[in-house]
Amino acid sequence: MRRTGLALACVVAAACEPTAPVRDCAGCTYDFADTIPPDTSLVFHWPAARLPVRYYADPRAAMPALVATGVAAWNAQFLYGELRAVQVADSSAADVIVRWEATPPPDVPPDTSTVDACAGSTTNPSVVFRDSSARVLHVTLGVKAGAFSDAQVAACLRRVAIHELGHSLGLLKHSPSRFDIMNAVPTVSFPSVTDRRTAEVLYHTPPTVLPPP
Amino acid sequence: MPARYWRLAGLTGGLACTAGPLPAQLLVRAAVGVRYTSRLVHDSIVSAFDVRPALAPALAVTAATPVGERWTAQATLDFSTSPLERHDADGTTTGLGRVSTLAFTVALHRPLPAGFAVALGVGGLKYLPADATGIFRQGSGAIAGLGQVTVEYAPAAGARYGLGVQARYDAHRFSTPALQSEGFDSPRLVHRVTLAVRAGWGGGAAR
Repeated sequence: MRRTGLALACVVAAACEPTAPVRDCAGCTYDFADTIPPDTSLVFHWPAARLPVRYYADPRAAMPALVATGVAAWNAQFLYGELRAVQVADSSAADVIVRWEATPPPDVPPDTSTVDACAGSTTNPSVVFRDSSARVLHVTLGVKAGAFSDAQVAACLRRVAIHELGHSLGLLKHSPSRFDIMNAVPTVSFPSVTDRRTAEVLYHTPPTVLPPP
Repeated sequence: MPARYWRLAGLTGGLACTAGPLPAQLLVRAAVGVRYTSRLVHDSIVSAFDVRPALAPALAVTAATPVGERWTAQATLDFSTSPLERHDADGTTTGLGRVSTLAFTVALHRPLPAGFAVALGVGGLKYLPADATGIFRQGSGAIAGLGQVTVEYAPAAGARYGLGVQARYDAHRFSTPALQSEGFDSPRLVHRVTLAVRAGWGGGAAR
């Protein structure tokens, strides 16, 4: 009788324990670490002590809005306080500075195209913070040469801004899937479930490269 | 505990001491104490971790009226607030912002021998996060059903002011839309234990 009661209590307790989502399934994440052959893995993410990550946006044209979109997109991926990014108005107080590569394009509403009309680059944190005394990462966004409409460029810049901010957060590699914002040529508008899982795993993985204190 | 909550507790206590006489059949009590809450979330990303509120100040105001020779019906409004924390397996703790809870319960209260009393109640509880971020980024979900057991001890010496101590246990099920989106398939049973001191006024405050 007593055992039955105990077993019943266990069943009740188990029934109240929700099943946690599976995160280690094949294809649920992609590689985020840089490697130096043969076996050095460079894992970078902003540590809790350095949060919030401060982004400064070139004030010209749509850049502040693009950075705001990127910051909001990545902040929304985390459930447990792993990351908090903010936009700052003073470049000297920034951890990441986002600028135009050249003359800014017109600030127009984006269309729904997925044309590869723009480009971006981010200084690699695993190089910058490991091999130099630099304290700031730099992101640049620009327009590709070609016959693109302003709306196509705006749509591209929105995707690429999120993509480049992903690199600045530590997603150092590209996703092989075209459904992920971290694909080499991003065609989706927001981080995917796979992007989110990869970022979560990154921010729970002990880093081997740290930013300066 | 933030100063504003001490002020709130002081204000409530002050009201209890200065309010005018109540109808003989109505008893009002205020209780101030500290609350432990079990984990709201257990998850594993690379390694396991828990999310739970820190120890919280708790404030409850109860109105009661006799419904028989030995039974009293109670309605209680209960508030607590504390930082939400992530506790990782390596011992580190990360703050996730402030979260408060507001609960309303109705209960039946019965005195026991030697100054003790017990109350059984049911009600609803709502989480009130300070920021719509993290597990609350899509809101805090619906009002959760709540079951509650309270044991009180009121020494005869404090009868004039209805002074007593109480231990309260309650349980509810917790989930949020963000956790459901993440893949948590069901709510988690959350336990809360509160230790409090109470004071009361009105007819039969000493009971």
